Amino acid sequence: MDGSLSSAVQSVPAPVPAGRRRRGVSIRVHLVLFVLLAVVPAFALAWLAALEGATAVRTERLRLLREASALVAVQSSDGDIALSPRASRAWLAAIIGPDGQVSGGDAGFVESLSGFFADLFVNHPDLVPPEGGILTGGGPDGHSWRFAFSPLPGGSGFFAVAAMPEAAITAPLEAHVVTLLLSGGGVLFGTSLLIALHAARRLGGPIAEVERAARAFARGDAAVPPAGSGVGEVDALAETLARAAGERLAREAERLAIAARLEMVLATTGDAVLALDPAGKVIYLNRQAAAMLPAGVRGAGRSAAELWPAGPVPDLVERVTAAGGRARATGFDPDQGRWIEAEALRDADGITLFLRDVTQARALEEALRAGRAQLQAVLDHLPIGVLLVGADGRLEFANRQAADLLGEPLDAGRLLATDLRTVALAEALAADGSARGEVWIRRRVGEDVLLRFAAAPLPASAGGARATVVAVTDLSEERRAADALRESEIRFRTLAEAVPQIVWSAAPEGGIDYVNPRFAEFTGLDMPSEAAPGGSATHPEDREQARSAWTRALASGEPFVLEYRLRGAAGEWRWFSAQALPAREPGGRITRWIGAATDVTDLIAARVALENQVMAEAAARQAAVAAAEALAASEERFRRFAEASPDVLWIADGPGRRYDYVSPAFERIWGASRGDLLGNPRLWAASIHPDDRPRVAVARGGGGDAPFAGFDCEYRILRPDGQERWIREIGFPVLDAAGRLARRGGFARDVTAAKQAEERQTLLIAELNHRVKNTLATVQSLALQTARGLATPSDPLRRFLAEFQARLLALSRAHDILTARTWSGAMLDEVVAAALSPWRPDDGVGKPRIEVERGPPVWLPPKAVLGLSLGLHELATNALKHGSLTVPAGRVILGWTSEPDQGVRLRWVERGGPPPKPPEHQGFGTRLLQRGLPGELGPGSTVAFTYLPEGLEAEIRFRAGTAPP
Amino acid sequence: MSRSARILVVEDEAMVAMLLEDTLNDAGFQVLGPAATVAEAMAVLDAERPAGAVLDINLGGETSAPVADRLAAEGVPFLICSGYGASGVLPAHAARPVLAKPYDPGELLRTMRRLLAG
Repeated sequence: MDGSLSSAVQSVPAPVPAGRRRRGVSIRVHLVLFVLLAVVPAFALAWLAALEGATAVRTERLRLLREASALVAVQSSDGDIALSPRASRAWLAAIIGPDGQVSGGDAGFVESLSGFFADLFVNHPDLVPPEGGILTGGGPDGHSWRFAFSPLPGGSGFFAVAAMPEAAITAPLEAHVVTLLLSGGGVLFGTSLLIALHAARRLGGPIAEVERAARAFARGDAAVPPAGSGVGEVDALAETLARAAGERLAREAERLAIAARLEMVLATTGDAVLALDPAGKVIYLNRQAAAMLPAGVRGAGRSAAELWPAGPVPDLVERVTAAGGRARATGFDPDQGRWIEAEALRDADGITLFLRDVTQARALEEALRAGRAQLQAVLDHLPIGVLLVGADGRLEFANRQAADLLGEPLDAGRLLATDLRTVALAEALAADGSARGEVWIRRRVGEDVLLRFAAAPLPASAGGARATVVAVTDLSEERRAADALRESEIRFRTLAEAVPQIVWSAAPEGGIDYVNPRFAEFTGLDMPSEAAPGGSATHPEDREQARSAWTRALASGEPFVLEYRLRGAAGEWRWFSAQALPAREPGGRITRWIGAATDVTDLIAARVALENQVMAEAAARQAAVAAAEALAASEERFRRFAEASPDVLWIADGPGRRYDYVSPAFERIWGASRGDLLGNPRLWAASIHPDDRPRVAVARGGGGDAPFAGFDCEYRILRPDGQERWIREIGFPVLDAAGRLARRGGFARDVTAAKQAEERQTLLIAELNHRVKNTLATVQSLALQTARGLATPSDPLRRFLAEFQARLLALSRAHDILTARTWSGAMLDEVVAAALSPWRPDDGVGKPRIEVERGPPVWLPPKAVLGLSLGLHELATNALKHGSLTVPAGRVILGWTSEPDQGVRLRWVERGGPPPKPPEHQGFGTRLLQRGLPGELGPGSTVAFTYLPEGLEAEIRFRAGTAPP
Repeated sequence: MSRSARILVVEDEAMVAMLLEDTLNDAGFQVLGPAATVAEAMAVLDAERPAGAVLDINLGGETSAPVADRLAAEGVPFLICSGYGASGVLPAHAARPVLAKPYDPGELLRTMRRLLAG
């Protein structure tokens, strides 16, 4: 069947291309030619004939009229009525009276017409035109005549009548018409004949040819009409016919080809295809359908429901039979042991049924579904979020963790960029195909989240679209933890720089990585490593113990607690109580050691006397431990430390107008509620003793526009219950990252006990001094009383008493100086002034006999003060007794200069007295000066006397002491 | 200046009081006291009005401030002796002459004479 159709298609000749066939002249052109050749001459002849006839009639009429006019013109003026002579006798003329009586005229005429006129005038007077005119009527000869009436002038009622037979007028016209008819008919006949011949010759043949071809076409033959008939319309018709034939052949070939392909498709498709008639009987089934039948069963002619009764087919066929249209069903056919997917399509011709064995597909689908569920379960339990994003930017899949991270349900099919709050992620993915990065996502609920994402394209699927799998993890916690750490570090630094203790931090293995400025300020060492316990500033006796305790603490993780001495920049040793605590991360691993060392020298010195103070310091030490903990930990822990601290810790805003925090110790020390202070910040200033208030206001306020740089001041407060307390307060600025003042912080400590101890100590020293002075006075009294008891006071005794008393008083004056400075030492110029005061002029204005040329400031330790006071006293006494002051003009110049290496050179120069002599025996004064004084002034001191003729010169060299700060 | 001018001595240290007494007596003054306590001094003052007075500030646990106040109120010139030196003077009587113990008896007499002279 295919073969035959194919060959038929091939045998169709190619349609004749338009234009090659010569098309004849249009039939209209032929007709125009006919008109020109035949009708126009006939028309011209008829026109000429009519023209000729009209000319002849007019000529005749003109002639007759002339005659009639001549007839009328002969009426004479005398009233005789006579007919004028006339040239033509075509007319018959007569005079007719009012009663129709013919009174004159042509004899023949009068006779023949007298009856006629009498009848006319008598019986039909209304027909007579009174003003003249023409009448037609039967003439005397029985023929039709024309009568021309003309009333004669003068109203006589006479008419001149001219009569003429009708035929005489029409005869010329008839002669022309006959000629015209004969010639026109001839021409028309000839023309028609020509048309007939021409049409027969030019149209008839070709049309017949075309008609034959059309018949052949109708029969389905490949008839080809003749070419070049010479008539355009015929040629066009033939051409159209030929094209239609070609197209029909081509369509037929196409239909056959489609049918063949359909057959092939049906044979090769995987589906079983059946065609059923409207009753459901099989009229066609393809090979696959046949294969689905039990062996030996033929399907054609049987009902489909009957062939597969157990599967989905019967129901489906019934459904489409009833409802029409298309339906689909899947079911298990136990007869075949297969899953069958059936689809039925109902149309006017019947039902088309498609059957497909989906057993394997279902098994695969089942396996796929199970695999997918497993994958989903696995993905949902991953600690990271997983997203599968299609090439169109739509979400194809997301696990539970991803939904948790992004804070909203991630249904498949939603657009990452518009349906979800993941624009940033979508942009990051789209930007440069970046495979990984970090991005902030604004969540619908909860805080923003920083995600780290890693994207990887999946292998392109069959469709060519590449999906992307994206793994996301939450970086926010890490980032927040890092921020908190940095924050905590800054807070630690700020607090560490503010506290009065030495604070340091160390790596877990003990390397010092930070030490606050207190260490360098105290020791003068700016090497942080020296801050470790047992460093070079540690007292040699304590060094080994400090090192081993530190090493032990590092190894065990136990807190380090030890007291040891550190050397100050000036070389002095002070006791420090040091603590170090490990800062641990949540897992317990030590991340850092934080240590603090407090100067406890004063505490140790006053430990016994100041029991309360010791107690307070112990608490402060605990507070320092707490501080170290708080510094190493968070603000919350700092707050706990603050709550536990015996000192008041406060934090105020930058301008210092509002307290943000005040520790509970405030209530204990101030005896007022913290709430009151937070509500009314002026309460603090108001509690300060009125005497101290102006001074403290300047210190605490920072003073005018100057930036707040912190303060350290002591003042008294008056509690509501009337108690007075001494407070030491240290304030410090808290700077933000940009170095601007963000807050103010401070510690206020109750130092009342320390103050009282200090006062008590002052009192004790004063009392001691008082007792010493009283004792000296008693000794003086004893000496004088003893001398008094002797019977006869002698000169030597009086001299003894005077010298003893003078020396005692010199010693007493030295004591006074030292007492004023709590026995720490005195300045050389003070010592000189006190020692020489007995020799001051009484009025205070006269020139002193002992001139003092003051040199540079020199500090003397207590021993040197006492020794030098006595020495100077002896020198002055000697000058008065033996030296230059024995004469009124004599004088003494005392001066001192500084020497290298803290040396001092003091010179006593006597002038204007008698030449001195070395003493013959060493008296008390000489011995004191030469032997005692060097011992008192310290190692390397010398006292030398030179006896010059102009006077004694004494030179005392010694080393100055170091003044306390 | 009367040779027999009466001087009140307020001093709790016996030895020092003796020295004072001798010094003043030798100089021709008559000594009232010596009083070792405020009460004694007040008793003496109740009995008679001295021409002048020598006051020790610290009287074994009490100060002689009430005596100084009374002397000042009664217009009796006095000088102050103190183991404290200049620093221990009663604030209310800072203008009075002060002798730091131990003192030169000669200076004591000079000062007293100056006070009495007026």
